[in-house]
Amino acid sequence: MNELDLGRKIARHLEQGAKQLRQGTLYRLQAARSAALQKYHAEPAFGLAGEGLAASRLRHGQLLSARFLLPLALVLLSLGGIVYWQTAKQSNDIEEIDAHLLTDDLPINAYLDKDFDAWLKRSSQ
Amino acid sequence: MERRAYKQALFAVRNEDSALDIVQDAMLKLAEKYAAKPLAELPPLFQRILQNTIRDYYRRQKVRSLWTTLFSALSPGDDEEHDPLETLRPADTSKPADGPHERLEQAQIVAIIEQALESLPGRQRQAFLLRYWEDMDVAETAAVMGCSQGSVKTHCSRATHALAAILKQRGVEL
Repeated sequence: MNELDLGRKIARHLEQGAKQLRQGTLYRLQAARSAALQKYHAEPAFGLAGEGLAASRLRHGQLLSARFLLPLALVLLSLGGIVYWQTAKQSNDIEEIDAHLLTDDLPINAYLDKDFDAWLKRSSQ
Repeated sequence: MERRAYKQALFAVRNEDSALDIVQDAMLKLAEKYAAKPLAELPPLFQRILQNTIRDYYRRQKVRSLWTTLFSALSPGDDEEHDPLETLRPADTSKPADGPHERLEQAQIVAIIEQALESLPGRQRQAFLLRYWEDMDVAETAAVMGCSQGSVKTHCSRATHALAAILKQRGVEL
């Protein structure tokens, strides 16, 4: 008898043995199978649609965790700060030029600017 | 599936409650982590999880050296060329075990085989069960066991020869 034949014959006997388990054991195995199947059916609705890493993170609710939210909040605050600072700086510059115009306290460079000169002539006519 | 898994775990840990726990853990892990996998991929995945769970059990129990190679103790040392497989004669397996005598005989053979399997080294038993009972090919068995195909062939061959020697010693003809 070769190795394969013996292996298969032993496997057939093992199969017979597996069919003769005690009732209590069978009951526990059935309960374990049912519990696993419940988990299995609960999982796939999202799991099948989202194969990617981000989707699986979403599925597990990790996206909303503090570990993710804290850096996001910091980035948003930084962006907001930069935008606010740039807007304030622009309006300050405009205010400064306006003030100089009104007080006629313009620097010599302003009169050297061709556009400014053209504007002065046009407005004086 | 769960019956074979239970038996596999039982051969490995030799404790019914622990074997049941191992099977339950393995099934839950499969359902939790691999629910999105195609059905065809689940059996080998389950086998891998089952084997890992059994290994975890060993780690927890710190009994790495439970299994001894009974074959080395039982095999005749004076005949290096002796092949126990050659001494087994094919029996007529066409007869179903219907009568009480046949059933008793069948139960006894199963018990002897199961004891023999328990006595094998873990890797040999694992390879044998995956290859012949789970009907996996060499490549699938190697993937589940995390070893080379050559190792699987070696484990299977040693396991089969050891089982043949034990069965012969116990007077069992398959």
